[in-house]
This record gives sequence, structure tokens and C-alpha cells, in this order.
Amino acid sequence: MAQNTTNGFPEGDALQSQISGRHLRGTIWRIVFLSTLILAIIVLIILLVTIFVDGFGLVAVQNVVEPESLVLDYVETDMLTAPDTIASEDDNELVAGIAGDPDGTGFFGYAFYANNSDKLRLVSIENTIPDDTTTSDGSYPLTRPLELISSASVIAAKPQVGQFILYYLQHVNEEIENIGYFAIPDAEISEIELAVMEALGLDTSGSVPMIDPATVSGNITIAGSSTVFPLTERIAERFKADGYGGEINIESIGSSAGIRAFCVDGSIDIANASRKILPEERAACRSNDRDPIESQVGTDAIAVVVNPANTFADNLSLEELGILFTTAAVWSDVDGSWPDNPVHRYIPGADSGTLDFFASTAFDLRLQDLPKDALVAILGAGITENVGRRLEREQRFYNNAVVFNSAEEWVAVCSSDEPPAGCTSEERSQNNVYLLVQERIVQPKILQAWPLTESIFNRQTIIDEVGATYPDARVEFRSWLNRHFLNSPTSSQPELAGFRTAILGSIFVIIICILFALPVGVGAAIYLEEYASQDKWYNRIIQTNIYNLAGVPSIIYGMLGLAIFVRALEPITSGALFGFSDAATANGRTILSAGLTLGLLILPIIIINGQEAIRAVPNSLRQASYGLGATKWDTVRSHVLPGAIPGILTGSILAFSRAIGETAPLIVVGASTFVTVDPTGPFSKFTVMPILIYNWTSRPQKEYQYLAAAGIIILLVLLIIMNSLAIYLRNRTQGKRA
Amino acid sequence: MSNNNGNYVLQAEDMNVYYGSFRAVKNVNLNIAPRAITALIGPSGCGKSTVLRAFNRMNDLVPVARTEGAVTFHGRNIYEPNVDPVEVRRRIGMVFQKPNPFPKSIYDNVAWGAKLNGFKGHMDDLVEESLRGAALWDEVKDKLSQSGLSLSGGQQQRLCIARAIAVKPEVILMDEPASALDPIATLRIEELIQEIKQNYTIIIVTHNMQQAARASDFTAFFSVDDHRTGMLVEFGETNQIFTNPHNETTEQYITGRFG
Ligand SMILES: Nc1ncnc2c1ncn2[C@@H]1O[C@H](COP(=O)(O)OP(=O)(O)OP(=O)(O)O)[C@@H](O)[C@H]1O
Ligand SMILES: [Mg+2]
Repeated sequence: MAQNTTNGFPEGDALQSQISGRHLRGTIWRIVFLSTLILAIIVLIILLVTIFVDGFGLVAVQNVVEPESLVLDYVETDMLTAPDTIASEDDNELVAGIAGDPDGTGFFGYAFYANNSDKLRLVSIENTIPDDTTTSDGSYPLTRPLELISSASVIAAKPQVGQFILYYLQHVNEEIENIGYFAIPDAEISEIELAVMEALGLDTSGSVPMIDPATVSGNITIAGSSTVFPLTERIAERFKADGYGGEINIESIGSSAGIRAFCVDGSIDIANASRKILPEERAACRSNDRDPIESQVGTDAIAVVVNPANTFADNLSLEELGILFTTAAVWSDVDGSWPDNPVHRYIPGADSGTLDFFASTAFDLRLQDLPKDALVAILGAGITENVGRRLEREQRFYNNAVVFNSAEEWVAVCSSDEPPAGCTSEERSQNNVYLLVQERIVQPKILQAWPLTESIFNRQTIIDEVGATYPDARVEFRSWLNRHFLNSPTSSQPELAGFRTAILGSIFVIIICILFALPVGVGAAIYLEEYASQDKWYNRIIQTNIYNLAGVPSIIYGMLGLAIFVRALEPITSGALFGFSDAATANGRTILSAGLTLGLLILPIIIINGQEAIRAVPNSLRQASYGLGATKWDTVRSHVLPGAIPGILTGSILAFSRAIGETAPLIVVGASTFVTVDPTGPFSKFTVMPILIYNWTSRPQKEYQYLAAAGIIILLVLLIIMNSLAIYLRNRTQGKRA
Repeated sequence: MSNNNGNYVLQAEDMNVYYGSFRAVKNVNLNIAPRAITALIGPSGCGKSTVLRAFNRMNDLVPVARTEGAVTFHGRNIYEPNVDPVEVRRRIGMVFQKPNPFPKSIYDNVAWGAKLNGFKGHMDDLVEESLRGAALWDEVKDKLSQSGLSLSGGQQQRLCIARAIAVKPEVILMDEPASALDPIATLRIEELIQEIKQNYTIIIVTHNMQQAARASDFTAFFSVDDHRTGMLVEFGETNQIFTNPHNETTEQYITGRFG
């Protein structure tokens, strides 16, 4: 290669550096473009993450009525109202009843069986007999732990509490049999002792020192479970007898109340409990600086017994147990191989803790599993007559019976001029009634909510915080985007608010918008491209104006829509002209006005895009068509339009997805923000997704922010679907033309 | 009509075509004999395509184009106001330089024009006949429902010829029909033109001297004047034009010394 420049072009090194200089410039631009792309992606990801993070997370929920207690009530009522059932608060009566009745069966605390084992026969449950082992390892199902709950902080302040607990543990196995509960093995007791000592800050390396009550002073207050009460009382007596000089005050107020008194009120030193402490309770304790130490001192079990004359019922599964104490009329209902003798039941009465204990351990039922009739009864017990009547008129509970309305009343409303929907509706399903019970009886209230990131990284803090602030609340994970959200209208209670009216509103509005803008826009585009002569000044003015209109801010279209559709054309847009007018919306602020306004907004875009698509149809096709003797319309119809339609659709779908996201013009046109009835047609008042989202974000309650995030996710999903459709159409056409 | 001497299908009489104020061709007088091939040759930009399009009023599609003088078809001036260009084009078909089949099936490509023009006979037969006429039948008979765009360039051009003859025109105008094709495909098109000449009057624009010499019966040579306006320089039987041109420019052009 020559080094010199002979013909005006660089050669040799100069050529190389000239080329590499151009490469360099290319590389720099490539980096610039890449970084803009990365920036765009980062912004997008941040946007999506922010939305997502708000759409899911922990919430603190507090029920007005706990579903478990409803289920328990149902089960207990079922048991108490079963035929041939004698209920008594006096366990001796039960023992006597079963002992004197060959068909008798029943259950009570194991202590009573132990005292009367000569008159009764014990039935094994799930092939297990209650004894020290099966009760402490949990293989016998009808058991509950007996616990003392205290905390290191309490013990530090009142050493006598720790001394008493240690004393309790050291002597409980000497007494527990007498009370009628099961002991836990000595080895486990030792472990628990060690844990208590550790909490006391005592040296745990050597052997556990025996507590001498004579050296203990100071008072101790204890309260809680009625089941643990006799045991604690017994130990306290011994404690005193052994020389303790202080006062021990023991109250029987129930496990939950005891734990509350210990954790929240801080009014007692030890809580007696016949169950494990719940996470929420633990959190509540912690936040009051009473990190709970649970010491199990024994196990309570229920004995299921029959008369010794009954030789067949040796064992029951939990399922059979449930049948035996509810629906079974004869023994063969429980097990087909058993005789047809009637079942005579002797069970603890409604006020007895044993019945609760049995009902909650022997039945594995959730509220949503209850039969419809039971749910209707629960609903009926918890709502006013008026509400019941209204619900029944909205949708009846049974096709062939009325529950809340009297029969005459029902006939009267249903034969009136405007019978309510309930008269002819399909009866409410079990699930529907369950949801009503949730909404009206259980009434879960969201007290506080946290975004996803906090929920993941600060889970424990949140649980502790909830325990401190709302001792009765439960912390659970909630997706704000759920079935209820999609199915319900908005509400002034965030936990009940949904997106349904907005989704339907958006769909209705966009349908009107499509029906208006697509034909008008495409028609105009065809005229401008195929018929209008560009030589004519007026056509050029029209074209220029369309370009300008595409750039006009959307709020201006809102004002235009307000002036034209809402005000000037009110008789049409309100439906009054057609006699469709709805009393609630006797003005032009309807779906029709909104759809037309959005139609106007995107009309220029549709026209311009349509023109582009039409222009993209190769001229050679038009010539080929004319060459065969086609008229203009033949050509447009058979070649131009088919060739342009995919392009038109692609652009139009993008335009419609823009319209779906518009807020400003619809606010001007008068979208309602609080609509709880579904839109029924073009003359309904309306709200749309972005407006409801906007409304939610501007509310003071923080929960609405999470609802808004869920709404945005729905909106985004819809937009993604529409845009994918556009991409799909575009690819399909490109494939065809290639 | 007055000027009809009965022998000519198409006659251009003092034809001038303007694109806006620019006169593209001037004073063209040309007589086209029936069932013969007339070739239009000349240097680029001399107005061959313009003249060709004037014969079936395709220039109407160019907004700025204006035609003066007369083009008579069987003695009737097709530029008279009461003549419908759609009918003119139905009788005088056209094949373009670049193959431009419709993005439809092969079958529909051929059938569309016929359907449009109210063909009442048996469409399958017409399609087969037209494809045979364009020497394409054997290659496509098994894939009539495939897109016309799936064919090769040469096949596409024959499809366009089939499409043109399917509406049974009298005249077929061809604007460099083989210019986008390789020599073999070109040869096939030439053979085809020779065959269909039995039934059709053909006017063909070509830059290929051998093609014009080989394939045509008459040749019209166009050139430009000082204003770059095209004009007909010489017209006659192909033999005469190529062996014994009367005009000096013609001779220079066909011997390759000009253009
Ligand atoms: N649509 C048009 N608008 C304006 N001028 C045109 C148009 N079509 C052709 N012309 C002009 O008319 C003259 C003749 O063009 P034409 O296409 O008829 O030439 P041609 O002989 O077919 O040339 P080629 O052999 O290159 O195809 C040229 O000067 C061209 O620039
Ligand atoms: Mg040309």
C-alpha cells in the first residue's frame, strides 16, 4: 500500500486511522445507546418492583368473631342436640349414667375415668390408650399440655416466682396422678428445670438444687386455666406446708385471660395455661419485656368410655369419634360390623371446658367446611332482621324456602311491580353464604399492613409490633390482588374494597371508544390516503390539523368532551332521548360520554396510524389491480384494506391501551370515584381503573395504597395483553409479507 | 369512428403526455397491428413507459399526468370523457416490470380479476386455462392454494401474465417484463410471449435489443429532443428497423453506439 495520498483519499496508515476512527465513533455511540437501554430497563424494573412490593405483604388482621369459635359453637350444638344425649356439668352423673346403661358412651377428663375404671371400659382412639408416654409424645390425640408461663424479667424482679416454679417442677410428678393428669417424664422435667434455671441466671452445670420453701419470701400471683388450677393449688398448699411464708393468690379465669393478664396487663406473675402460647401472644409478651418461658408441668387427656357390657367398641378413629358423638343413632352407624343397638350419649355440658376441649381436638373442621344450613344459621344469629331481609332479596338463600322474610312478605314483594332480584335468582351457594359470614360475622379488620420488602426482611419486628399494639390480632400474609378484589366493588373499608366496578367500567368505556374511534378513524384514513387529492389546499389543511390534534394534551379533550357530550348532547348521552335514563345518572356523565371522549382523544392517532398502514401497501399492488380493470373501490376493498388491516390493528390496539390508562379527560368528563354498582350499559355512571387507582392513592388510610398497587397490576396485565396482541399481529403480517 | 382503417387495434394520434408542466412525450403517432408483437425501444427516460401506460390510461393514476391528442381503440378515442378507464383496462391488460402478484393464493391471483369482471363460467377451468396459457400450470397445479409470493421471480412474472390473460383482454401491455429475471427465465417469458401472440395483441417495452429483434414483429424507436421530451423516431417492421434503419439515431442506438 502506498503511503502517500495520490487520489484525494487517504492511504496506508492514514486510511487505517481514518477507518479505526470511524469504528471508535461507532463504538462510543453503541455504548451510549446501550446505557440508555439499560437506564430504561432499570427504570422499568424499579417501577414494577415498587408496584409489586405494595401489592403483597403482611397484614395484621383482627376478627370481630373468631371463625374457630363459630366452628366450635356449631360442633358443640351439634353434639348437645344429638338424639339420646344427656349432658351434665357433673362428671359423676356421667359416670353413673354410662355405668348403668349398656348402650352408654361418653367422655370426660381422664381423672374421672381413673377413679371409676372398675365401672367403665376405656376406648382407644386411633389405636392409642392414654398413658404417660402417649400423652406426652402426642400420639394420643385428645390431649392438651398444662403449662406455667412466666418470664425471666418477672423472675429477676421477684425471685420467689422462679423458686416456686422450680419447686413446682420438682414436686409435680408426686401430685399429678392424684389430680388425674398425666405426668411428663422426669428427664423432660429436668430439661425444663434447666431452662428455668438458665433464665434465672443460675449455674446449670451442677445438679439442680432442691428448693427449700422456708427460705422463700414475697408474694406470688397466679391466674389462668381452670384445668391447671387444681394442680397449682395443690402444689401451692405443699409449698406453704413446707414453710413458705408469703401469700400465693391463684385465680381460675381461663387460659386466654391468664395469658393476657400476664403479657399485656402485667398484673400476674405466672399464667396457668392448658394450651401452648400463640405466636401473637408471645409477641405481645415480648413487647412488654416479658419474653415468655413456658414450663410444661403435665398433660391433660380426655377419656372416651363405654359401658363394660359393650364388648365391640374397642377403638375409634377421630372420624368415627366425630360420628359417634353427633349423628350416629345406632352403633352400626359408626362401624358397620357393630350391632344395631342405640347409642346413648353422656357428655359434659355446654359450660364445661371439657366439651370445648373435646370439640376442638376431635373435629378437624374449618368455617368454610360447615354445611350451608349451619352457615345460614350462624349468619342469622349475627345480623339484624333488616339486613337479613335485604340479603335475601338480593339473592335468596334457598330456592324453596325463605329464611329472613316471612312467607307472606316474600309473596308480596315478589308480586310487586319491581320484584327484587332474589325472587328469581339462583339460591346462594354454600361458598356464597360462607363469604357473607366472613363479611358480616367474622368481619376481619385489617389494622395495619406492610409492603413486601418489609414483610420479608422485618418479619419478626412486625410480629412483635402487632403483638404489642393489637394483642388480639393475627399477622398473616395477604395478596391484595385476590379473588375478592376482582369480584367486589370499591368500599370504604379497605379489606372489603375491590376493583370490579372499575374493571367493568374500563371495559365498557373502551368498547364504546373502539366502536366510535376505529370505524371513524379508519374511514378517515382511507379517504385521506386513497381518495383525497393532496393537491387540494383544504385536504392539506385537514392533514396538518390531524397531526396537530394528535399532540393536544388529553385534558383539552376532556373539556371538549364535557362541552359536547356531557352538556350539549346530554339528551343523547344520558339516554333520556331513548327513555333509558337512570334516575341516579340523569345527566350526561355516562359511559357513553366517556367512551366518546376517549374516542376523540385517540382518533387522530388512529387516523395517522391508519394512513401509515395504508401507505405501506405497495403501489404495485394497486397498479396490478387497476391493470385488471378494477375500480378504486375494488382495489381498496380487495387489496389496500386487507394489506393495511394488520398495521391498522397494531396501531389501534396501542392507541386503545393508551386510552385505557387515561385519567385526566375522564375526571373532567365526570367519572365518579365511588361507584359500587356494576355498570349496566352505555348510560350508566361509571368509574374506570386509573381513576379508582388515583382515588385510592389519595386516601388517608395506608391500606388503599396496597389496593392501588393491586389495581395497577391488573391494569398493567391488561396493557401487556393488549400490547402482546399488537406485537403478535405485527409479526404475523411480517411473516406473510416476507 | 372516422380514423379507423380496420387493420389497427390501437392508434396513437398526435399524442402528448405531460407530467405537470413537463412534456414527457410529444406528437406520437403509432399504429398497433392485431395479434402481433410491437416492441418499444429507446434510451432510458425517453418515454417508453409513458407511451405504454397511455394505451390503457394507467397514467390517470399519476395525479400530475395529462394526456393530449387521441388514443383510439378499435377506432374509439379512449380519452373521450364518457369512456370509463375501468373498461379500457379490462380490455387492455398490463404486465409490469417487477412481478407484483397479490398476497393471495395462486388460484385467487388468477381468479380475482375474472370474478371482479363478472365471469360467469367455470372458474377452475379458467384458472387452469390461464395458468396453462402462461406456461405455469405444471409447476403450480399441486399448490394452487399457496401464496403467489411463494413462487420464484420468473414464476411470479408468469403468474402475472396468467392473471392478465385470465380476464381475456385483447391487448396486453408489457413494461420490461423480463428485466428482473435471469437469462433462462427471460427466455421462457419470451417463448411465452411468442405463444400467446396467437390470441393477443402485445406491446412490449424492452431494453434488450436481441429480445426486441428476436421476439417482435414491429419495433418503435423513441428518443429525446433537446428538452428531454420523448418522441417517436422511427417505426416499422422489426426486420427493417434492425437491418436497414432509415434514421441515423436509430442505427446508432441499435448498434450500441448511443444510449
Ligand atoms: N410520475 C411521474 N411524474 C413526473 N415525471 C415522470 C413520471 N413518470 C415519468 N416521468 C418522466 O417522464 C419521462 C419519461 O419517463 P418514462 O418512465 O416513460 O421513461 P422510460 O422510457 O420508460 O425510461 P426507462 O427506460 O428508464 O424505463 C422521464 O423524464 C421521467 O422523468
Ligand atoms: Mg420505463
